[in-house]
Amino acid sequence: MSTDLKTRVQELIETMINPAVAGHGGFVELIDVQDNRVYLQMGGGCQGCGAADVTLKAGIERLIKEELPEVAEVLDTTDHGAGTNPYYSPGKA
Amino acid sequence: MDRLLLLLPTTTYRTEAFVDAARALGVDLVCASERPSTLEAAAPDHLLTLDFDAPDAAADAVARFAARRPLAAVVGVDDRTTEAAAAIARRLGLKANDPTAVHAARDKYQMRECLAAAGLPVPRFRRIPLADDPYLAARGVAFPCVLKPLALSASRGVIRADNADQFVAAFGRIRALLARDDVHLTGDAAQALLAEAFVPGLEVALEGLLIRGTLTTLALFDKPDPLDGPFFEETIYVTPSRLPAAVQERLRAAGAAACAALGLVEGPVHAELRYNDDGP
Repeated sequence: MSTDLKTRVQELIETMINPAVAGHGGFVELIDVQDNRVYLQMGGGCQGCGAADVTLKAGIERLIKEELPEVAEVLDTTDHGAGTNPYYSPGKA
Repeated sequence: MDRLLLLLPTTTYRTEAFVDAARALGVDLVCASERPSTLEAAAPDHLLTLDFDAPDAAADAVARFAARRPLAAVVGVDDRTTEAAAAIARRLGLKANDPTAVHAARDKYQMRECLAAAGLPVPRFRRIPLADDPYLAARGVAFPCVLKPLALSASRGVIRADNADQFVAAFGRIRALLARDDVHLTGDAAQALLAEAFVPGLEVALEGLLIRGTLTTLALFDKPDPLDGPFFEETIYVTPSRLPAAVQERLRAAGAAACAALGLVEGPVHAELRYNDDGP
């Protein structure tokens, strides 16, 4: 079931999420699905972006859970500190 | 399910904590930032773009949204969103502080005026336009003094000056800071700074919650590293406070009196106070 869920999450990322975040030079990569928890990594303009948390929590996670209610949680594994070209600069304080 | 609007600047580091708290409360969450989310088109009922520097315009936009998606509460995250949050809540008839009180809490010059008018202890202070000649302005203050922007947080631009030369240098530094693209101040806060007498003594941070005008102190933090300047970067916070109970009580009372003087009645409070032989 986890493999099937992983496939469906991957399809959602490819068809709905990545086309949207590409507008800000970003992309989302599916790392794994374990125990109905989705592990993602953000890249490009999303990595280190000041809006990354909002995009993830209020955007990506919401969309995934609406389409796939069995998903329990979406977790971000990105090293945002290593982002070299964030779309929105994060705050310093 | 109640619907909550969170105002989240793209510069905040607090998004996850607030979103997780909303999830724990089981509310339907709408997030607004000052810059468009890349997913706003895909989730228009949950992602908004608002101008936090134009509270009335933000209130107009949210009123249109709330006409079809009613909101039960508005919470502003970080200093920058407080006035927009108050304006939105007022427009929607939600529980909130008066926008005038919120503005006074954010503008350090207006705050000093409110506190002084209420008879609360404040250092001597002056508002100085950034267009003024700092060499002349330095003649109008007593030293040591502290110069600071009218509305920035995290001790940005707060600088002690012990003489006229240091005053001029600090003035120029603050002027340059306020001209930066990533500093979003408008109105008087972008055109003036505050100079006030340096207050010696220990400093504490009070975290509280106002409910219908009554302040409950949630925590009192000691700041054990001396904060004597010239810069006032914060290092260590310690709680529970190690101060004598009587001192803590005076600090709590001073915090409550300040909230009342400003006209604040609802919501979380972060206050910083100094204490010396003259009291809070």
